[in-house]
Amino acid sequence: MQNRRDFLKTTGLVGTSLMVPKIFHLTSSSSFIGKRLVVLQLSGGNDWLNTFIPYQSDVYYRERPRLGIKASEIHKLSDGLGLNPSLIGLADIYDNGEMTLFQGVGYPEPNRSHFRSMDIWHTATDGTSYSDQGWLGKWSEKSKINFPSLEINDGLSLAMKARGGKSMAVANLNGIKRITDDRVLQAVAHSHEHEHDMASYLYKTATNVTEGANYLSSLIKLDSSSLNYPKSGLGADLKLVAKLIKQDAETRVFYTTLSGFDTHANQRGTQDRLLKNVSDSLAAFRSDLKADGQWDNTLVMVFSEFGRRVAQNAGGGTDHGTAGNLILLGGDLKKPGVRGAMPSLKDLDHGDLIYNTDFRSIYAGVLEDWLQLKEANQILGTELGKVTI
Amino acid sequence: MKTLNQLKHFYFRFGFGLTLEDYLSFKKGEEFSAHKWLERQLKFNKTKPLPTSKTVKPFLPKDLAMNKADRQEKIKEERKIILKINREWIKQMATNENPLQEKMALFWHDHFACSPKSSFMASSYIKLIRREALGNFRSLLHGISKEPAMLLYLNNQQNKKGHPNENFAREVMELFTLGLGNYTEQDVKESARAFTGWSVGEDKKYRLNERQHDFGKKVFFGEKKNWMGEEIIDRILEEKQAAEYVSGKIGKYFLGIQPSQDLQNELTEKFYNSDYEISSVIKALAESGEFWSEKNIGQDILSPVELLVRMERDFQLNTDESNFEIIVQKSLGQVIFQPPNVAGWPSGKDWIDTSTLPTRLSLSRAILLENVIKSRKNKSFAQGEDLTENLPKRLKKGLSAVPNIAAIDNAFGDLDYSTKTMEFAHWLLPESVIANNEMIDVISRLNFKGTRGSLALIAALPEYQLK
Repeated sequence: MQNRRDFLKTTGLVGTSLMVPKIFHLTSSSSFIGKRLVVLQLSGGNDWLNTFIPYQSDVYYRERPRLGIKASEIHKLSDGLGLNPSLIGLADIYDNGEMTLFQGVGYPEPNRSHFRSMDIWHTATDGTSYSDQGWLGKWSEKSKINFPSLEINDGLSLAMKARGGKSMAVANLNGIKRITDDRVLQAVAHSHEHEHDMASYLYKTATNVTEGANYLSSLIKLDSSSLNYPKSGLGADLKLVAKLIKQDAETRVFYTTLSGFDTHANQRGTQDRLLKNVSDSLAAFRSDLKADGQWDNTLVMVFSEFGRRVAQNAGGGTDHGTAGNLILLGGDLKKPGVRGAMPSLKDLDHGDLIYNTDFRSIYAGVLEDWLQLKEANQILGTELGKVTI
Repeated sequence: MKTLNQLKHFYFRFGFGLTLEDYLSFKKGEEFSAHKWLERQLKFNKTKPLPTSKTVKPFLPKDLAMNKADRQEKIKEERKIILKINREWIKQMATNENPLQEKMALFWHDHFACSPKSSFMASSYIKLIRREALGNFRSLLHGISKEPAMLLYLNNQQNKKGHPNENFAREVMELFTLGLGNYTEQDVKESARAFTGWSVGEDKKYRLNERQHDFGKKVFFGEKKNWMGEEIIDRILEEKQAAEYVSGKIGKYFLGIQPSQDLQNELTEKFYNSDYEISSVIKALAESGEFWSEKNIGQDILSPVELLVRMERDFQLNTDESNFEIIVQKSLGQVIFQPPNVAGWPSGKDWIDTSTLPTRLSLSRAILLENVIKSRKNKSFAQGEDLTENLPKRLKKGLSAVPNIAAIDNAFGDLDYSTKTMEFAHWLLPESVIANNEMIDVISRLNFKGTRGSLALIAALPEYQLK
């Protein structure tokens, strides 16, 4: 299959400014070794205990008489954990050594507010300090990579934001084309050095959008067929990410989100539908990239702002909790399988699990081992050790 | 006497911008007193009800007995009515003689973020925040805490004795009054018990379900007694922190930036000492040096709803035949009654990123030029190019919003193209950004013809997003 670089060579387009966004100051592709991170955020606080089920625990069934998932329904992994039946699409991936399942992931003095906890995950700060820059935004600032990180969303998440950071957000494929064809935007993007602060911010943003979109659109024109993804928002998002990866996009960080996990009431049906979407979308994404030889260069990280309380509530749901799981998927995982210890379901902090792995130590591994940042603590601010990815 | 620069600033921050009439009166040299205007706005106490809110009916248990298909139909119908209320409110913002009241109600909708499930509850909720918008925060807080829409939104229906659901109790302190870090987890757990049984009855109104209420002793803010929910709210408001947190947020809403420590102290004192009269904060802000500071003027970004309202007014839109208001809200990422989460919407720069900016810049073009393209009667602007072909489809489809170009043209009289363009700029944009090189550069690169084109040009500039 013809990839982007071959296409550029054969058409003689190599080296024309058309393909190179000015603001990204592309010098060469030599620093790019093809490793990409794809984040999937589960918004609302996923109930991890009903995602990866501790089916050997009596406490689990006692605390969740209505919500507990029967051992007979579960696809068993190891360490006494089993897959929610809706996640059956992940079974193959797990069995093939392409999935790492961290247990007991959290941070000290957990915050049970969605926003604050999500901010903590996005900024990788501890619970006591605030930041308007995200860990991936800071990475894009510090890294030598000159291509924009890409979020498939209506707007940019805090995780991707940084001063002068190279991140952009587009809702979908048409979003890219609309920008490249927009005359006003092109005219605005030509104007620089505005004295007025806020106006200058708008003009700069317009320039970033235009040049970033020009680059992405140069890749997408060469679209190839894609496998069948679920007809869901997430399916479409991951399909677009796969398209770009298969065309050798030098974008190294992609960000996707699925919302709706705040299951205070009638959780079972809602969560099962969401998890099925996650599982089917990721399975399609993996097959797609595998067929293209890109799966080994891809790391998918799935997280949520917190897990949920051990005991079910009166509404057939669960309330905000603390520690949970974090999943990595990819073709090149050094230590796949279940990692870390399952927190006790009996010794709780106000009814919630006590974490044993700080999520920032996993970020450290992702930043250093995968995204080739020399010292993750310049972003994370603290020395928490590093988990091998 | 204020300059045009100050006048625009004032109207943008305390209302939805400078109307054409106000701009023209200023040009004639008419006196304007910010103080008097504000006094008038704050005295205003007649809330014009939204038409649909007078006709909504609760969804009663007998309605639930209907078969599945009918129920689905009913739910669909309900969604439509909620959108209708949404549009009526936007219309009110664009036409109300008391924009400050609507502006403040919009603030409360963000502060008390809530997504009502039925038209009956949406009406009740919106009625409260509009009526109390400039009233007393204590009454507003007590009221909102018993609004069925809010109780359901924050899961208090599931907050029962022995099985507390803390969502509501937590947000009352975190988002409504004190802010994070000013209470303990213990306070959350104990106050959640005090709110057990605060629920929505079969008539879809608030009721205390005594069987589910925990009448036991609770320890809240270090005091052990049989706390009731109302007492919890009053106890929270005894904390000066509540006055600081809420007045600081109001301050940021109007200033565009966090108030300085000095101004914050003043706001806190006035709010607290007036027992939470909202007008005390607004008056102090309007009289502050910070509000009028040059470096603050035009340095904030319109929220999507503010942008929509200003376009309705600026272009004198007739949108009766379409779902225009809803489509615009969805495209720009802020839909009334659909906040992203309990913390409400973003603000300022956070509204702008690589995906929202292109849509914002293309909107006014679509409104002003689309109708012409459809009718094919007038190809004179922009040399017959379809400047809207790159707009999102849903935007194009619903853009049957008819601007009243003739009225605008008449108001300005007979002017040549470039004079008219500059007039539009002085009417619609912050003074400090007019006539800088960038703007001239962009204008010269684009070539939109006629009054319509000239207006579209000014409204297509990034500066049109500023307030």
